[in-house]
Amino acid sequence: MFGIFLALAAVSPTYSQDEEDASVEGLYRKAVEQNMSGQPAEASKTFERLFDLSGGLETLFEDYGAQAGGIIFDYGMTLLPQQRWEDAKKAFTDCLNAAKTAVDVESPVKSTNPRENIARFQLGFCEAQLGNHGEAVRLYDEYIAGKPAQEELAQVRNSFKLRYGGSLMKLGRVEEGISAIQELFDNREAWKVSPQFLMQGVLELGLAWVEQANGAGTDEAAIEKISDRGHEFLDKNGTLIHLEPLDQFRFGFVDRLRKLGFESTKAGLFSLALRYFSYVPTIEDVRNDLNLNLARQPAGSGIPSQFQNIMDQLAEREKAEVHPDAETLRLMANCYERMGNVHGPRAIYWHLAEQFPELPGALRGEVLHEAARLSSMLGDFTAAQYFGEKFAAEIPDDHPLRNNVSTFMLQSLFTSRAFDEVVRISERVREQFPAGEPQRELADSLYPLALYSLQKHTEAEPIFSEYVKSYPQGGNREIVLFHRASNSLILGKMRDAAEQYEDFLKEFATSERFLDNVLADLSIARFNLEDYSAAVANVDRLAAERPNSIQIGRTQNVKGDALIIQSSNLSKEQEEQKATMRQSGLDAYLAAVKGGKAALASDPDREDFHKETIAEAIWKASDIYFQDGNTEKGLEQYDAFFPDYAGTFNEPQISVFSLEYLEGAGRGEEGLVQVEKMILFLGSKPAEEQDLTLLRQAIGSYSEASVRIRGVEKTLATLEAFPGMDPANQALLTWLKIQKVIVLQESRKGMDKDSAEYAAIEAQIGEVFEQLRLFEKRNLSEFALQQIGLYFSTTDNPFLGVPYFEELLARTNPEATPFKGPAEMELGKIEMRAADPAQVQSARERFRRIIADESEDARPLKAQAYLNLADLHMKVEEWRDSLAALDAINKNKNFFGKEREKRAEALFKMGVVLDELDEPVEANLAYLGVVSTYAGYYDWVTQAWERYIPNSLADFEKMPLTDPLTIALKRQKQLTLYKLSVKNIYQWQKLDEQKDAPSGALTRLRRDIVEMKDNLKITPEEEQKILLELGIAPTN
Amino acid sequence: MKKITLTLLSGLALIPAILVGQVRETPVTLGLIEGGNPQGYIQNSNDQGILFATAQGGPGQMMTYERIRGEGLDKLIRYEERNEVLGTPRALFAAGQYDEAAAAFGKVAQDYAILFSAPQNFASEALFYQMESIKRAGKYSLLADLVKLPAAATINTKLVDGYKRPFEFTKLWAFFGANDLAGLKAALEGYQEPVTGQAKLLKSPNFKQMPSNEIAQISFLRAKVYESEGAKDKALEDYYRTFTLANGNDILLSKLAMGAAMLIQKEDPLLAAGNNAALTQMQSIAYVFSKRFGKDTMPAEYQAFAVKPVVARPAPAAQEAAPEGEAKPGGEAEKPADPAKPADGEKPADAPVEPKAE
Repeated sequence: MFGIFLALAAVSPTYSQDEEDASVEGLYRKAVEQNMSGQPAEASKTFERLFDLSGGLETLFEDYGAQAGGIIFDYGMTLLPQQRWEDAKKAFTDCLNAAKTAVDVESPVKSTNPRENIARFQLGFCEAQLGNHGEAVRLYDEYIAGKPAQEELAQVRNSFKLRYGGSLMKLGRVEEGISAIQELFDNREAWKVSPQFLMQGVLELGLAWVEQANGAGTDEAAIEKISDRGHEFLDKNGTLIHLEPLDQFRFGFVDRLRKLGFESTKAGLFSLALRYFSYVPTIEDVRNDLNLNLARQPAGSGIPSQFQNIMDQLAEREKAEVHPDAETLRLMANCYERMGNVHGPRAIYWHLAEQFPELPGALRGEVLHEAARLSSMLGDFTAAQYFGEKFAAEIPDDHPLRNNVSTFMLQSLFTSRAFDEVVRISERVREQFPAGEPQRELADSLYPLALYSLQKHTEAEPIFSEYVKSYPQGGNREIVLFHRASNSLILGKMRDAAEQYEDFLKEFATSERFLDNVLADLSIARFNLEDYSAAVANVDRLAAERPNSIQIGRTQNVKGDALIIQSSNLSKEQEEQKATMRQSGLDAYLAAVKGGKAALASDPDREDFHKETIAEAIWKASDIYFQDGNTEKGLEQYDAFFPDYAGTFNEPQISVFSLEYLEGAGRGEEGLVQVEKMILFLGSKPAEEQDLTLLRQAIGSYSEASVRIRGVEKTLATLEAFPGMDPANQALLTWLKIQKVIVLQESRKGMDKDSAEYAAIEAQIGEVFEQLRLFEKRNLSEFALQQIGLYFSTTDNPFLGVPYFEELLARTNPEATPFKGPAEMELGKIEMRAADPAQVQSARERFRRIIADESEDARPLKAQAYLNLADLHMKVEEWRDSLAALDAINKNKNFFGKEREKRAEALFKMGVVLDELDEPVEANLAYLGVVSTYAGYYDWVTQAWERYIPNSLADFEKMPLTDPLTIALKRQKQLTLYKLSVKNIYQWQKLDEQKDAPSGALTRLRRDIVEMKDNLKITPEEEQKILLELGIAPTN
Repeated sequence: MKKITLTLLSGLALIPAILVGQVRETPVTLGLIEGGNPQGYIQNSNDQGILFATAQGGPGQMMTYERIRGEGLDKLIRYEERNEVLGTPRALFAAGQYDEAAAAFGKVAQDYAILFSAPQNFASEALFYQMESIKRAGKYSLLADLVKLPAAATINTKLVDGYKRPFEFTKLWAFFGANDLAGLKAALEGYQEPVTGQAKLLKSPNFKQMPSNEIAQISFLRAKVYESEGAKDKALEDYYRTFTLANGNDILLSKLAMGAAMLIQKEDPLLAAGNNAALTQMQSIAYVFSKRFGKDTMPAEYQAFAVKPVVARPAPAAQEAAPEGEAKPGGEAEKPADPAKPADGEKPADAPVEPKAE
């Protein structure tokens, strides 16, 4: 279409290069040549010079008539490649109007304008380029209506179809437009349409679809429809535009396709864009193709200039800051991701990260960021970490994406359980943003979770709370809420835990991941808060909503515990309800067995956990059966326990507590053997893991049963040479020897203490303790130390016990703590017996330390410490100090709360001290308190009364006797005192003076009552009256 | 939808013009160091020289390469029939008709076997393009025998360097075509970076520095090796590389890779479990496949997934500035971090003891 020139061009004379022909013809010919040699701008200038030199267009028309329109047409053709659409439009319009202009200027030349019709076509093209597609189509239609010559039509037909179709599509006449362009494909052979031209058709259509899609705005359905139309066209014609890479590059399609792909991406035509990109060869594809083309060149012919030119272009492009192939891949990545695909962009960014390491800094950062982000989205956290590490190493600290990358790495590190790293990076991210910022959310969530995982629960607690407060819509809220509650549970903050689990349920009532754990843990928290109904309710909810959860067994055990406790709290009047509840508890344990077995099958990886659940349930069910007298069922459970659940936590319990029932069923020996195993098991645990209470229970139950089943001798022999016993395990040996002592002590009950048999046992006991003395004290358990110390402290040489108590005081392990106070007490008691004042002083200090100790362990020892201190003060007649100690006991009702005799002793001693302080009235109040409050403790009561009498009598003597009334009053008091004494002695008449009142006070009172009667000159009448009043007068 | 339906045999039937049988001689013009530029016929060739006859059917005489001008392979030997006999096969190749092109090139290679030992001869070139066409047609099993031909060695020895690298890759494809995955695996080792340091964090080794069109091929082959070893996740990543890198411009390879990736994703247990992310990934690839290669080429159970997944449209960037003249980067320069969550089932360490009071 560019080769249509006026005939005059061909007939013009020839000039040398240096000699310019400035005639119209000469300039015209020059312009045509320039245009043909690819210099349209120069050609335009030459035409413009032509117009100037000829005196303007009017003169041109005057000189050439309508034919001048042809010159202007060719001028217009030079403007098109320069995209000077307005100028071209004017030129083609002038061409179109040439005939009229010639008439207007009254040109004498009667010529015609041969370009008039085709000017419509080119003018239409200009209108199209200026966006006036309606006008373009009108002009195209006019051009066809003008019946162009076949030769001309053959030359412009392909362009016409392309332009016409393009404008029709822009006008929304999509089908007509596609149809016009489709004609090119359908007639490609007849019309000699090259693949290059067809490619242009695709590009035209592509841009039209882009425009349509842009017009569709956010109407996804409309965009999808446009996309489908594009794909349909490419499905039909795609193979026809096949071009080898070199041709694609040479014809400029590489850039145009990429541009089309980009525009399509922007317009939301993502799948279509990908298809365009798939037509784009890489730079290396082009180079390979070029090299193979070069290889076909004749030997020695060198590199043809056009190939060299392309090679230079390729090299130039590769020098760009961003490699063109990398640019294309980034666009493709965007397309894939916008279609919901993550693998595709991840593959691309991984490739860009590894194969284009020299990208400019900001872009390199973006590439690494994207690789990390997409890896994280795919759950490939180690890859996210890999790219994150690269980012951290290569990209400056102030890169805006650095914190994003850190968060992607966080995920990876967390998943790989690198919790210390998670903490470190989280802290860094947290410094960069205020709480609540989306960029901080992941760090704020993983930070406390990492602390939790590191078992830094106290540190995690406020961070969990901060997250919950700061991210009401946080993406990780679910996991954080759950672990916040779990953290509280671990910290033992049951109320917090319960409320936090309940908060979780408010937000995630149907949580897929955590609901069963939440309900299970909540039931535990509520159980620990003694809110048993709530505990049961949560267990029931779990069973209803997650019947297949692996937590069923565990929680049914909780339910069983809750119901059993509830039933035990019911009164005797609620027997029926109590039984029902207890049965429900049993049912829960049986359900726990079932649930645990189901979990064992569905979750074999946690076999140990589920076996523990089942074992606990079996043991508790058996215990209920035993307690309720259903021994047979209990033993069924026992038999279900072994051997499958041997080795679980509850094996010792079921072994020990089933022993008596096995014994009852004639399986005592079997039970003893099993408990022997458990004693070894419990006693062989490291000290810090030992359950001493259970071990003592096991040994105690075992020895009692053994005495019954095997007899004392065999029991003692077994305790002495315990089966399977490691002789190096001194701790367990100690327990067994002490148990031997207990068996011996039990065996001497009922024996005459003076008997040889009794003495023999005593000797055996002494022998055991002597053996124990040989043990390294540091290897002995605290209990053993205490027991040995106590034993020796009661012997003739109590100082033998001192080293054991001192060992206890020297120990720093937590288990020793509760033994320290009693040890201090015992040492004090031993020392207070000494004659050495220093030791006595030491004893005082020990008691004072106990009194000053605010710990729980010291509390039960304080009363005795006061009492011992009081005794020491009394001993050296420090009456005031003694009174203070005794008064402390007297005023604190909790002291000796369960040892009333001790309170009686303290009160009596207080009376004694008050006597010594010459305060007989107060002393008598104390004595009277003893008599009235502690009547059952005869030794103290008799002593108190004994001291009460003289104080009272002395008091009577002080009464002023000024008149008959006062004299009578005194006499009345004396008679009352005598009467009470008689009454008391009468009440104590059955008491054994040695046994019940070893102080001798009763003996003395019985003896002195006669003397009292004489001293008070009690008359027979008065005596008789008193006895009558007391109801003890002898009857005749 | 694009399908290559013609077989090699039918391709042969389409080009009767080249069924001329093995030639005994072919015209050449030589540029001699001494003796001008004689025209004549090559009747045979070896590593030392050609059997040259000045008259058609005349007795040939050994013309050593030393006597011909030019260095190395760049000898002045003009094969007069080169463009003529390669014209049709090249046109078929350029038109993407690879089955037909393979047959046509193969015929040339076979007919002009007398040239194989001559520098830059077009029989070796034809053999190269025969294999290249077979590769592009996806008939990989046919490559195994071809690469083993003695003549195939002349691609490296008698043609210029530009042929060597593509031929190296053809040999890899031959391993795959022969189902020799062990051999393929060993051969691929050389294209991978050693796995050291941080690279151990990656599922699969990085590739050495290579053009993306080569990585696309290598990825596909490595994916096949991974699949044979049951490493589906690694294979999936490599299939994705195949159809994304180099813009996915190898249509057949892209289709094979995308199909294979789709197959792996379909078998993802997470998909069966109703995992939303897995569903989105499956829908996405099925959708792209259906658009690029046609929904009706997919089995019915895959077609059901071929819907555009619902994807939240990100807020448009403030300004999408295009770089000068060229295609533009992705619209969203900076994506906010997704709230990635700890993987399912991944729970921080359990509490050491169950805090339940007894």
